[in-house]
Amino acid sequence: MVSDSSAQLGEAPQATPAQQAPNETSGAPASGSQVSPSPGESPGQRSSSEVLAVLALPAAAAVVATGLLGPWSPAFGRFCLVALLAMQARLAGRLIRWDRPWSARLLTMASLLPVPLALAADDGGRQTDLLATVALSVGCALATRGRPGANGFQAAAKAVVTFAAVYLASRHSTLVWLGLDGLAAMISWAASLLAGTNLHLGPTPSGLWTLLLTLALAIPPRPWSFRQLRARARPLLVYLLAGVGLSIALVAAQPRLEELLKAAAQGIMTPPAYLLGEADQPGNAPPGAMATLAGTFALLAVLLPLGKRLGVFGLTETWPAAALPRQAWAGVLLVAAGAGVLLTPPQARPATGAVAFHDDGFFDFSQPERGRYGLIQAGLYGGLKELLIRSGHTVRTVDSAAVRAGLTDVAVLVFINPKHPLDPETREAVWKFVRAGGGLLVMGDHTDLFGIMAPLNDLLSPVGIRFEFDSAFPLRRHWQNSLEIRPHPITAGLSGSVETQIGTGASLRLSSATARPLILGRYAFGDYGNRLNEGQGGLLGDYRYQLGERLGDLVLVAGAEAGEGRVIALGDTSTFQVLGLPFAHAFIRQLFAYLAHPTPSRIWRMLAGVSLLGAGLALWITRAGRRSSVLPVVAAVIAGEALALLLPRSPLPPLASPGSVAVVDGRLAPGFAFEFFADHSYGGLFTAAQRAGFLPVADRDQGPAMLDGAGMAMFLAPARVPGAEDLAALQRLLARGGTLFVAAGGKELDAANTLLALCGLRIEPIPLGPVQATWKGERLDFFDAWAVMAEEGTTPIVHARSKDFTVVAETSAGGGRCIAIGDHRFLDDQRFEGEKQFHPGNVRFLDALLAGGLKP
Amino acid sequence: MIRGRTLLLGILLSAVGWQLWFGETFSGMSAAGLAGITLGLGAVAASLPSSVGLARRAAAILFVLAIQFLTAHTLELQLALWKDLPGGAELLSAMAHAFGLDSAPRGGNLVVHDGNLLLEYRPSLTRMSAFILVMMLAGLAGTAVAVPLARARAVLLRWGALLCGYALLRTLGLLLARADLPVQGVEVGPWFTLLSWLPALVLAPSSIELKAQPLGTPFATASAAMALGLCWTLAISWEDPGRPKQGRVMVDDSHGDWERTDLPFDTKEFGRRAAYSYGNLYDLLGWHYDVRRWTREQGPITPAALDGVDVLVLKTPTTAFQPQEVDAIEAFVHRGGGLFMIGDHTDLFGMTTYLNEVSSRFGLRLRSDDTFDLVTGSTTRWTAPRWGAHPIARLVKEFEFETSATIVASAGIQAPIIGTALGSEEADYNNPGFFGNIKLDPSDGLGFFLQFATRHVGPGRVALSSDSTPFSNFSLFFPGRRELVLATVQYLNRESTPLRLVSWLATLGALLALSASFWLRGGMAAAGGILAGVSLGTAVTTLAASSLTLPTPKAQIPTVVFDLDISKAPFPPGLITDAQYDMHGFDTLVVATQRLGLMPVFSHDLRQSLQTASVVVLVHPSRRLSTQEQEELVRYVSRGGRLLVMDGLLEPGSETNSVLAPFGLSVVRQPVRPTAERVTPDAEGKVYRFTRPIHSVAGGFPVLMDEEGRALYAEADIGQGRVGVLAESATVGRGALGNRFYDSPNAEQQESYNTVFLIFRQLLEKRP
Repeated sequence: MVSDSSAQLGEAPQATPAQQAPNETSGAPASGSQVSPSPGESPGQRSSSEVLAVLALPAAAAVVATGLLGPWSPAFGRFCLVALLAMQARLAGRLIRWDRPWSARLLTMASLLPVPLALAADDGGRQTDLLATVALSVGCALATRGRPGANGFQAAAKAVVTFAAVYLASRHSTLVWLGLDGLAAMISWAASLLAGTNLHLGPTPSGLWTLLLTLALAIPPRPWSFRQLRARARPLLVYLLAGVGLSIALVAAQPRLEELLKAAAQGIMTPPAYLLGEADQPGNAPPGAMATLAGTFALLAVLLPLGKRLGVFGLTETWPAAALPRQAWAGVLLVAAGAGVLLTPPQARPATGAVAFHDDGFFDFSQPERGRYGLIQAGLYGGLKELLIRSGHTVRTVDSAAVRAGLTDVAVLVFINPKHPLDPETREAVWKFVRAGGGLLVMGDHTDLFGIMAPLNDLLSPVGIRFEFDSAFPLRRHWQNSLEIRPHPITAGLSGSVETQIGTGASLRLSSATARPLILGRYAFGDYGNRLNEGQGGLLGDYRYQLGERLGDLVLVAGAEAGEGRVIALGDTSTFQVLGLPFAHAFIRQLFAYLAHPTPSRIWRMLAGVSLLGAGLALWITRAGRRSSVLPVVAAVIAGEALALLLPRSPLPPLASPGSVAVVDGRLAPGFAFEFFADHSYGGLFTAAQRAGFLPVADRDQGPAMLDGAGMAMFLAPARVPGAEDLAALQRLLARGGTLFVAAGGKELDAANTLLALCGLRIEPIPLGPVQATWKGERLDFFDAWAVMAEEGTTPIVHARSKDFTVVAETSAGGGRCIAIGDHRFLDDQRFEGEKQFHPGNVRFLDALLAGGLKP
Repeated sequence: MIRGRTLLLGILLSAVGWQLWFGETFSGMSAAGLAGITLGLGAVAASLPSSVGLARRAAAILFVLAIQFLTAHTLELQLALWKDLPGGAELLSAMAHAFGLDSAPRGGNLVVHDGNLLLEYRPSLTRMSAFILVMMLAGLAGTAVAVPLARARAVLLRWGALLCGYALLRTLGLLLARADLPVQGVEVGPWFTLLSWLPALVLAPSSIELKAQPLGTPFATASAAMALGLCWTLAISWEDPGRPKQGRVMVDDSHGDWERTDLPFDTKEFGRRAAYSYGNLYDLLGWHYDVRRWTREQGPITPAALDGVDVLVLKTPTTAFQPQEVDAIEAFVHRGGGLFMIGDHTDLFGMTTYLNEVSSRFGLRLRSDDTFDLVTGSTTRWTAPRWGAHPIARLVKEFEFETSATIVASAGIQAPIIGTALGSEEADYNNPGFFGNIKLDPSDGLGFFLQFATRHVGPGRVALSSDSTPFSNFSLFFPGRRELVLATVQYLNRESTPLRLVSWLATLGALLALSASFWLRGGMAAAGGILAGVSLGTAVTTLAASSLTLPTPKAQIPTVVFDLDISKAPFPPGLITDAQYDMHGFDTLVVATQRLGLMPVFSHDLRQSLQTASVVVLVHPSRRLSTQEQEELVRYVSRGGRLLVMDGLLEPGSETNSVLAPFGLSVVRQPVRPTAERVTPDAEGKVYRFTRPIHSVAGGFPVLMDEEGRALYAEADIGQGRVGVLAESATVGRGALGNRFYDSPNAEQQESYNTVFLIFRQLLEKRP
């Protein structure tokens, strides 16, 4: 249906002939509707605020779905998204025509089906949330098609689909990403002129995404039609200029705006005086976090009424929907299938081959060892070596001469913080190795530490990746909700900062379309280094955002392909170090598995994908007609992308020599935070396991499958009671001689005692408070101790007691060991082993306990 | 048609206003609360259609106001009793999981892993905004009756479901964003509360119909409304006056050594043990009742031991009660005995555990927690409610806690003290005193808490205090403490009568009257009826409560009155160690007078003080006495009264000399010229001089003089009495004496104590 293009959005329907005559496209006339409008209202008479809501809700949902409103919890984002989608559906529900043919109803239902599916699937990268938004927007537009006042849904759907297409394209295509980054740079440049300061913002804090979204609302149905464009040129131009101008003004005002927002938030939340200045107060809010939010609201609040006034949203759409011949719909399906085939990432394959670490004399494979305590000196890459070996790789170090001689039996070559530039011959040998199918992993660190920038940039110049002289500093501590993880084989299944364990490193600059950003610090700034801050200062800057520093969308991990080989570059090494590895083990294994295999030929898949795509497009063009919207095709591509995303991925193969792996439970809501050097962190637990000869890995989602490959299972203050499968896996672990280690206090008795029941122990609700015990003449300190007791018939080995109560006990069960500590705070970093301090008695006691060296 | 969203906005504003007025999470905002209530009710009036006349609007507002007033009073107690929604943690955990948040319920709390962060979250009713929710429902119900609405119950059901659903979603949203938001501001901030409830307006229906033809006659409406007001008022604040008993009090000293009653508190015994003892409390009770103690040497408490006892005081037990003892105490109460239990925070020394063995027999328990003020982060202060106060609370008026626990109680208790804007944190056995971090965390409780509760047990009565420190020697005579002890013992020294059942019957009557109201016509009859009912109920309860008065002493008690009427000096009542009180704080002086056998009393009425005081102390007098007051002061001294006037350099009393003039005394400010020498030798050998002011006393007989013969403390005998003047109050300030809590004085502080003892002994000395 093509309506009168002069009809204004939201106004009472003009009785145009096209609307008066029932036709196939619009279905039954409005009089047949079962909608029951409010008294005094007709379905077509929508209040001005309602009209704006029809446009704003999907737009806001799209921004929320992509996590562009700040470093908020994804769960909270999803809550807001569901609320926005529900409101959108409610508005649409008042216009839905329930008297349509079954086929149309089915189509409407089918268009909404992805909403629950997408919300149920959690990809961490939030693409499924975007898919749900697209699906609902399109669904609402289809469902309300032909109803007076419904063209707002169509305009919104068009904008959301366009936005989603650009957003997804930017995640797959470096060119698109570079283009958007360039646009953000232009906005920053203009804002710098306006504000008289130097600003350098990425696409997210510059408000580019919201600008694109609001501008997309005004895209005419056939933008390629010069006649249509010319007819609408003036309002469109005003709208465009207003949008761009407002964006520039917002960026220029960003520093001041931020201060105002902080003050407002502080006032609204009215904290008492004694709490002012604490880290969680908005007065200390990080830069850019709230300005993005405010900018989005400002753009929507100004541009939507303006656009409505100018009539740029009033252009009616062509929504062929059910009126299209089936062949056209078949074309859409083929397009979706083609997109899915093309965009499906390659499945991970088991890791094989040798990993060679380039050693220029400083390489450090150290790991925690007895007698050297304090997490700051726990060790560097020893754990990485162990993990790689257990993953099926062989590991060795090579020098430049070996590289020059040819790395014929090496799958992956690793450079970590090279301090000297490679000589041209070695450099050439490296790239020859890569082009022949080798994997190259290059890791550096922040602010030209040890003079690494020149060697790194020289090495990576063929793929256009450069290390900046900065440290990428997150707006939230430990990169909480601050990362943008892009689809790639090495990032499959990752949802945030816990699994990547990125710390403080340099940001990367991509100067070529060859390279591709894989992990971005979306909410971060590039803190300039300071060459005067030498020594322990590590040339770091002041950790504060200064105008002129890059704000937002910093590249932290980049990838590239060269010949048949693959390259991954990281601006930070924390992931691979002793403390990062227990949480990042899956990421590391995926990364090495990816690098260890040459890039397969994708010609057949490409041929299949392009064929499907081509056939689909051909069908669409020939059957749908020239005047039809391209939106269904774009939506089909997005659906294909989503299909590819939702395909199950093959799990990582189990680690070799499982007996030496210690699985630290993260599934049963344990009483430790998944971070280090903070309250409730338990880094010492991991180093103690390593000192006892185990490779500690944290388990946050696998459970029994992981326990079956473990030699020790460690549970720390679990809140959730384990299920039967977990207990069965633990029984198997004990049967093969493994160790069950439980440290808990009075709050976790249910879960802890369910575990300890496997071996005849239990923790009693008897608080002992802070108590001391003696072991081998050393003082042991317990901080919040609870009594450990044995079930009747079980004779425990008591390792530590205070007065009449046992605090640490051990039993044998099924051939394995069970250890119970009635105080989980015994292992708290503040008390056990912290960054620089440790409790000598407690540390030595646990070392001996885990190694089985304690005697009754 | 009523404008639905305007009505809901008005009800929301007034609910937030009531929350501020009652100070659930934010104290000291009564004025803002009043503004919120006024604005809200204004919006309710504006939401009514133009067909509703001015009188009917006013009636509606009055009715809604009365309903909200009674509901808020009811809620205060109920939210102090019911802190959590049963199953709330499990429900929220399941909902949070659906949105991808890793959370697990644990003991009523939620353990949440949000990315890197770990937090423990307590989904209490206060966090769920239950006060606002119920107040909004009450406002709607009031409107439904007052206007009245068509299909009122259906409308209420629908709106109730909507608001409950919104409250749940709001809680869920805040939980999901918990790691991203500041704790304190979000959970206690009134603006945040208001803003976070505003989206509920979007869900509200835009219009509501009025009832076309109201039922019932004006008389029936007024009667039902009056019954509602009367019954509800009685249900909230009725207290059985009881029958007085003989006043035989026994204090249990047999369960531990903490706060013993038999330790000396005199001019020789100092330090923690002397400070934290109940010797003065025992003396205080002895001045008013027949009191004895039960010691460890006398064995366990048996029924025989409780024979001839009217009130038993169990305080701070640090050893367990034997089951037979608990049985004996329970039987004692059931026979009509009064039981006063005094516990403290964080299960210190096992006190909570041991005391709960007894108190749980009567449906009362102490939590193992400590409390702090949500606004200041320090110890908490309670002031008696303006309306409906318990008879004990009427006699106490204000009370400064020195870190209390909180009380868990079942329904049917009375609550003389409900703490407002409190944070409550579980004991942390890793810290000294088992305190937590004394700041609001997501796992802490907040809002209203019971801090002092009483219960009728047949003819017997029990009372439970959640803080023992204010009754220690070093605190007992600060405002509110003495009154609370005496009022409680006086209350327990009465046997309950069947009139105690009035509150239950009144509750039933209120529910029936409320149900009946929905069938009636509202309007002025309803408003007038409910106001009359509340007034009548208030009169009845006030009359009943006024039968409880503080006991009169058996004999004259030697009292030292510290005047707060014309004096200008702080006597910090709580455990405040702020250095600002070193020079000007005189709380330690107050406690020092107890060591001389005096009972310190604070008075805001000088003329009243002059009736009974042995000694009146004026510190830095800063208000000119009226002629009448001056004459009475002279008469008081002439009759044999003692007057001590203190002045100071840093805080000179502007009226010191006008007060002293009739006695021929004055304080003189003189410049003194000390010589200064240069640190670096000066070749020219000049002499440098400075001047500094110094106070001395002119007139009277100098008792203490400096080396140059200036009188620092002087006295004058006037008639049969005596007037003493201390020129420099800092001599007896906290800086000189040390704090009063537990420090043992060093040599210098001991000398200052000697000065205090000397001055008061001199003043009180009988001379021929």
